[in-house]
Amino acid sequence: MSELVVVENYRFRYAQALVELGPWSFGLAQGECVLLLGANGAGKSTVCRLLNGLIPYRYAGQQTGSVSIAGHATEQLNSPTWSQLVGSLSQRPANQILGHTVARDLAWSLAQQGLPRPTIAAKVSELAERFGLLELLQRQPQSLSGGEIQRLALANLLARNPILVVLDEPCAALDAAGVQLVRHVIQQLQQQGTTVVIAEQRPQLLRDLATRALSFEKGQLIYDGTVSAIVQNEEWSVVQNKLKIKPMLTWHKLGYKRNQRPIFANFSEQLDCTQVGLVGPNGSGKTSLLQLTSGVLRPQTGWICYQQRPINQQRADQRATYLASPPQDLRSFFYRPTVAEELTCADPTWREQLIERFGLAELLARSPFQLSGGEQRRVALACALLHKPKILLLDEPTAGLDYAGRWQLRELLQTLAQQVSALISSHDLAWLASLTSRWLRLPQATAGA
Amino acid sequence: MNEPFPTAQFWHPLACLALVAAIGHSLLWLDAWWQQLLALSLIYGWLWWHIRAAIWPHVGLMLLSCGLLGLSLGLSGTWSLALQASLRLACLGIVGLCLFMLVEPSALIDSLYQLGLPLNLVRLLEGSLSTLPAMLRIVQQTRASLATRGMRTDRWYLLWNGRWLVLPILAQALQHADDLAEALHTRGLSDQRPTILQAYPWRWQDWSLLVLSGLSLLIWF
Repeated sequence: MSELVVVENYRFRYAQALVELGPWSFGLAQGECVLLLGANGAGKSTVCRLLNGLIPYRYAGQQTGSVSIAGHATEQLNSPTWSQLVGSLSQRPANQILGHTVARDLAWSLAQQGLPRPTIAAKVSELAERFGLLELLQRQPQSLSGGEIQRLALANLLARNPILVVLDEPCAALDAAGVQLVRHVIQQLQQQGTTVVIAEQRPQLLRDLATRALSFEKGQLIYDGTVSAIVQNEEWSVVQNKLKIKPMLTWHKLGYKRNQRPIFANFSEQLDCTQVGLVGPNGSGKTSLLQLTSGVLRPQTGWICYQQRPINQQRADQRATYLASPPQDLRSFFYRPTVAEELTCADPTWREQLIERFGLAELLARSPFQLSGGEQRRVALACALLHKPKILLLDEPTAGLDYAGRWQLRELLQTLAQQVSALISSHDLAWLASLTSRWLRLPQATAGA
Repeated sequence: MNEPFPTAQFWHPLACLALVAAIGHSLLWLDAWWQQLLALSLIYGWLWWHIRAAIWPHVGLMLLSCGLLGLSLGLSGTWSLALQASLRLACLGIVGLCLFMLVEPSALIDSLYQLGLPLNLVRLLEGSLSTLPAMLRIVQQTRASLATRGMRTDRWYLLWNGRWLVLPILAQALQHADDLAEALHTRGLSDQRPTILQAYPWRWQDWSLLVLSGLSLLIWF
């Protein structure tokens, strides 16, 4: 196999950063599937940015060494040529959407190449059929579920037939069907002879597809070899013990439609005084159930009861006295300039306890918007607990967290188990099984029917 | 096979643009404040019947901002100037609303490319149009998040708690700008004119609307 990408003695320092990443020297052969491994901040995303051209086009810094893709030295590649050679899927695929409808988003990259309209229309129809998007072509991308957006982003990847594809955490927040789709796309790319580079926090999901692993630690490449030697096969044990305790939360014949599509019809369940996992495929209504419970959304029919009292008429801010629900995307959760101000609380003793328990003392003076994903999650959890809620609703709390971060979060939640009930939505089933004793499973489309 | 790029436009997008320009121009050149207020009330009332309900909290936010601007100008200067400024801001808001009601953003962009306007100018407009729904989503998410933290930002609570929206919205808007720039690069923004996905022919009714709008612009001059 010929070398498609050659990285030689490459070093990079982000502008205003003190630490230099590298030196890295590796080559990627045509048709290889390479897993990038390492904790948050180890350098995986930097490698992705280096390969998809965001370094140097979007991220300024000092670089030495050389990188070439398909025989072109990257200094000589302009942005349009680079993006024709390399396809890229970001951690948040919703941010890569550029069209006003699904069809126009699929057509966007093709239109930029100046292809004739009939060719574009045929390609869009073909991709939509392959990825199950035919029914969604005229929908606005903002109205799609997370899984549908991921399908759209993957379809976009294949639209341009790149020779190198870079996937940055493609399985984060995906259910089993979504992961299966990602695997299918990777297999198709491999069959076409496309080189695939994947940064992934849950490498077990893709270990059998990858032909090689590169592992990073504190910016250094510490391992370059086979996948089986470094990625262990996790056990997928599921514990389902139904506990018979007085329900904390009850959903009774809940009905909710969004854009005329039924999300819940006659959904009835209850949450006991425990930590309960909320699982189900993308689009099954997990986030909607959490938002209905927190009061962000209003059910059209049925009742939500807290300690057997209906709370339908309570607004989200009224429910916040006993119910905390930090969202999946924490960027909208913080509103003060520093962590210390975010943690303003009437009970200083409880505040100190939270700071100690969550290890936030060193972060107090920092802006919550500039913290890493794991740090943001810890601060958000502490903020959510400031008013001593009885119930915690968590939506994909492990998305974007590395292995250490996920297990640190699990320990934190375990220490809270005696004080607060929790309903935790996650696709990280191994993590969820290790934390929760019961799962609430939402089926696709006919949720709760 | 389904047509992937159908058009739901009854009028030519550029004819609609001319109509919106005429409406905006007419509103801005009304002399007396009561005339502007009356015209605004009529148009907002008409829109109330025709636009989906989800947009109204944002319209409310916009009108409240106009009111606040007027109040702050009034307290620091003359009240007549304050009234004029806030009414004009509300007029601009209504022009935007009319535009989005009458024209699909993608149709407008296609027809501007078709018109042969400079590439960078159309791209700037395209970026702005795609930012608007993203900003609405950011505002919506931020208000929901603050509500789950026990802070109301609806109705009159916005007057007091509205300041807490500023930082998260600003931070997310900056992040959105970064994300947009990254997406444009990774998805292959080219320096050549993109393919026009839907061409709009000029029919007699489009010409009529264009001429009428042009005439009304001339009359107000």
